[in-house]
Amino acid sequence: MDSSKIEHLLELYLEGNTSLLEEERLRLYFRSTDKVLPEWEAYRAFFGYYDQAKKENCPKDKVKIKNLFQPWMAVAAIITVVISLQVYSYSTKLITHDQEKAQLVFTQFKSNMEKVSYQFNKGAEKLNYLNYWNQTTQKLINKEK
Amino acid sequence: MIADQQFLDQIHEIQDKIFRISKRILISEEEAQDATQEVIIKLWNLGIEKRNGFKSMEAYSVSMAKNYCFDRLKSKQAQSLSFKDSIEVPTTVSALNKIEASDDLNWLMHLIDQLPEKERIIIQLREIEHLSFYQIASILEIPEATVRVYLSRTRKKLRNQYLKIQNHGLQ
Repeated sequence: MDSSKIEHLLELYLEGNTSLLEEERLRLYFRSTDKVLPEWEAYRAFFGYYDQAKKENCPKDKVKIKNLFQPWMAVAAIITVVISLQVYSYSTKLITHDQEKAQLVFTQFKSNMEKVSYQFNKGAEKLNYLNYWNQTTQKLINKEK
Repeated sequence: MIADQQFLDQIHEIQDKIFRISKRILISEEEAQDATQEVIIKLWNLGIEKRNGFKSMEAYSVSMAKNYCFDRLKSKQAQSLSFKDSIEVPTTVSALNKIEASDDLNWLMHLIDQLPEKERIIIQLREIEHLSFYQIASILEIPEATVRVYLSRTRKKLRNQYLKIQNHGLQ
């Protein structure tokens, strides 16, 4: 683009009367040329800075970390802790209750088995008489031989 | 979940823009991040139906950011926490010269950052974000003609300051 056209655009630019398209033309011009008229040096500097400034990005990592830490999350964390504590204490209560029940059943079972075993042993004692019968028959068998 | 993904995609496009505009108004990277965060949360809290109802979510979120940042500035000034003390904006030509020696682009950034906030945001919206006069007018809630007047004044001001400092440096 010839410099008279640029000069005209710059005049409009200073008055705030350039369109976005015309400003883009000016940016392109100042981006593409290293040497400009000394009186245009200020424009080149500012357009250069504006190009640079447009590239600035929000630091993503920091935003994400803050994103994770929102007030409702603290509330959620507290609720979670309270609920898990209650579930834990309730379940331990359940366990002790079950254990007591099992203990009771076991003692009952044990005493029942003791009774059974006593009666069984009493019966088994009577079986000793059978030994006499065996011994006597053995004697008879020996004599026959 | 689909709504979440859609929101993240929308945010991804405008997040940087919100950050840059907030940084231009608040002149603090940290505060600009907070502002960006705040705007995103506000957008999320609007709900999907309201968000989809906007003609332009970008324009809406930019004006949201603008309002938030201007409120932040006001509350800072109300707290008599001097804005200029906390951010060390160079106000004299000699201070600017020191910066010029260190970094050419940084120097221009400081030149813009010491403008009044209305001029700062207009420069940001037009020169950096390339928004139309119509969009800028609706975001700032002023007539388009006023946007042009502000912009013209600020462009001339920046150019004059640049020339003044350049000439000063040559002496």
